[in-house]
Amino acid sequence: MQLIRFNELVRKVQNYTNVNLSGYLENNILPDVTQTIYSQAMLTCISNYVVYDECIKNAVYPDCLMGYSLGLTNALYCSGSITLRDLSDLTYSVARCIGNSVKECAFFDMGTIIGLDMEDVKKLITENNCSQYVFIASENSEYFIVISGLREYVEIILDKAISAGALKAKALKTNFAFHTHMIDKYIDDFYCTVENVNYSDTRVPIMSIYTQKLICKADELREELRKNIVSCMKWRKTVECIENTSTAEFWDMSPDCSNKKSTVLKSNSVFNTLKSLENYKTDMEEII
Amino acid sequence: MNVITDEIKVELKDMIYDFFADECEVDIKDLKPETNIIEELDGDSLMVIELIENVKKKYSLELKLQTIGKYMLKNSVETLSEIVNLFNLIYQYGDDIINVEVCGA
Repeated sequence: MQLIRFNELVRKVQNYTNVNLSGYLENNILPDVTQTIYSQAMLTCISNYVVYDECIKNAVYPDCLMGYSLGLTNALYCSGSITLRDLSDLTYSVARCIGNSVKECAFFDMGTIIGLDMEDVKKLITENNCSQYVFIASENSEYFIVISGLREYVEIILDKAISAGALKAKALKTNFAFHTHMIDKYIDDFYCTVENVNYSDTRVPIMSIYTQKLICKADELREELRKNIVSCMKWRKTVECIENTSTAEFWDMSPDCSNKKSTVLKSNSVFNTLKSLENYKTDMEEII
Repeated sequence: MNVITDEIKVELKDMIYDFFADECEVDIKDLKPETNIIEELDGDSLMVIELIENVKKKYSLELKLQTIGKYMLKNSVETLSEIVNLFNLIYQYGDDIINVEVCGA
């Protein structure tokens, strides 16, 4: 059923853009960088939505949605605030921005560092004279930091992080310095697209990872999108905020269950994935 | 240096196996010493960090994460048996674990 739904959505989206998403799924080849980036991102969005849809069909109703980076546009679609077409337009717009920066030989990247805390990473950036070129993109948790900036300097910091004892430091190969102002000159296209989308109030509120407030109105959502592309994400703070209100139950929307329980911060927080849902359905069928 | 008893070794091994079974949503019966946590369980470094924090808390150990990072540069820590070995060494040597491996090389 999930595959049927996935293919249905892929067919719909292909009609909007004429990008051969099905072809990309089969052989990973598309004519240019922009289409390739768009396809990767859009297929991720569609598969995440299918997981969300499956949760709703199985009576998993969220109190709020949280979107990490690109996940924000996904959350807006899941919440009913934007249409599938809008989601495609926003995603294509981001892909165009990246494509243009690549054409202009702006070499950006992002990286993850696991095992050092925010202060350690900031110190590495300062001590290696990279403060103009590498920035913190997100503090995901105490020992999981995302950096963003000019590729050669991101690589320097990643190397230094390993020497300093990080358990892992890896380049993400995003070709873009999301969540920094280094990309300001490349994102007018995105800002225009954000302005042109017709937002509805959300059916399910979105938790802002910048203010830790629930947002649901059109102007708030527009502002969140604008902030999202250039601002340092406060993911850890937002997760803490939710966990501090009550015993939190999180549901991850990735179809490959790539995020694990270590994503959340408190040991008594519950973390569910598509696998949890499948196990729950199997248990229910056995009982019935 | 802490003396590690057989009882502690069993406790640590059980803790590690229970942890990965829970985190990776697999049946504990399917976990073997040669099970690769990255390739077979889709595990990651964040899990190792959480396990380190759990063990530190349980046994009141003093340990810097960066020490483990430096240990992992020189020693593979991917299979369950390698992880069990790592935690046995952590229990015994704490931050001195890096010196133990250098001497043994």
